[in-house]
Amino acid sequence: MSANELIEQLKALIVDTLMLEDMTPEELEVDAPLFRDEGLGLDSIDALELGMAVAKKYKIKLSQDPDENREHFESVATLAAFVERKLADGGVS
Amino acid sequence: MSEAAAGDWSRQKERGSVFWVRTGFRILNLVGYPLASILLVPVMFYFFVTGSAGRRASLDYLRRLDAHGRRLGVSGLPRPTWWNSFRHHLSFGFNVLDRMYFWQDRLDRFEFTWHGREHLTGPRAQGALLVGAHIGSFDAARAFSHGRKLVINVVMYRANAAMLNAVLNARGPGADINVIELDHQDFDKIFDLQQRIERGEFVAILADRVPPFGKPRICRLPFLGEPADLPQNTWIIAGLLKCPVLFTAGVRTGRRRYHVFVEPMTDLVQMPRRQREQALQSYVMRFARWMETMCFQYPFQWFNFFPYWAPTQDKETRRAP
Repeated sequence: MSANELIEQLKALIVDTLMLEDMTPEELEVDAPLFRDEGLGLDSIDALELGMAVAKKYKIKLSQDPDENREHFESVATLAAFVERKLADGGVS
Repeated sequence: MSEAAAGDWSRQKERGSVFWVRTGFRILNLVGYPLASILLVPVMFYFFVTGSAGRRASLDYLRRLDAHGRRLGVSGLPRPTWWNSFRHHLSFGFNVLDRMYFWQDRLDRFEFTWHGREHLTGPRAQGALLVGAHIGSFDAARAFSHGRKLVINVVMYRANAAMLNAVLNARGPGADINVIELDHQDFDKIFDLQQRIERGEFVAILADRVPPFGKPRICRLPFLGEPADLPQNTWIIAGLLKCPVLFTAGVRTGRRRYHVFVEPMTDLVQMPRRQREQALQSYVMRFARWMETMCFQYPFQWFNFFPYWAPTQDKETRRAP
């Protein structure tokens, strides 16, 4: 899976999971912050929902450290980098 | 203190507790149920007389129950008197005594009457979240897993889990119950719970007390006619688990007699982003109404002996006696 495919998948997953009715995956910016006010303004429940969806879809374990997770879930780009690294570690593609 | 040291300390404390719990079980078994239940009366009288905080909380609850019952035209409720508050304390004592037997798996000594058992063992039963409160003895609800292939996982917040683990370890192997500790933002745990439910297991959680960590997510809603802080956490977890929710309670109705209630609440807890706060509030509200119904039916079985209606930041001592 290429990096771009992964980014497209994640965007679709974010829009689906969080039911962002007024947004299409294309409109989601790769570098825009997800959880800060100036970005999508998602809250901690969204973070949990998204975290579970990502963990389920890619069968990866998330960190137990909330601060670390916050870094990984900063934007679509950081999330993609995180998933990619986890997949490489796990040897699954 | 480093994290490892803290872990050692809690394990050590747990080992110590195992010893005392075992000793307690032995003494209890030597004394026997009839004598233990007689001794319980002066013991609870002592707690009632000396424990002014518990007594105040009990009277406070009885007063609100009485007033709310009058408003709604519910008759036959106990008046908020010292005598009834003592009965409330005694009823808690008996629940604890019985629980000692439940924990030792001596369920055969009790008679259980079921209401809605088919939701757990019927042909259409599936993994679900069992939501309860500190009403009666939630452990009595475990009776249905006894001798059946039914797995129940009890979710507890970290601060409270150590003690119950000690008790269950004291029983030795063969426990049909898993205690799962939950902290805030625990992805893996919730993920694990979801997989258990998909396997057809049950997850049980008590939803009437605000968890002892983090910034509490609460709804301040009327309970027995006056606003109280009720936690949203259970409903957030239910929303993440995407599974049916059943209200569950086991209440003591007499000597060695329990009634267990299992009542479907919803097939799916939904928290749409736009109306999330309202959605959570409506779930918490339904939970509060369910608790009220139980309190009206079994007024002495509600075991929150702390200032339940006080705003959360003031609740320093939110423990049962």
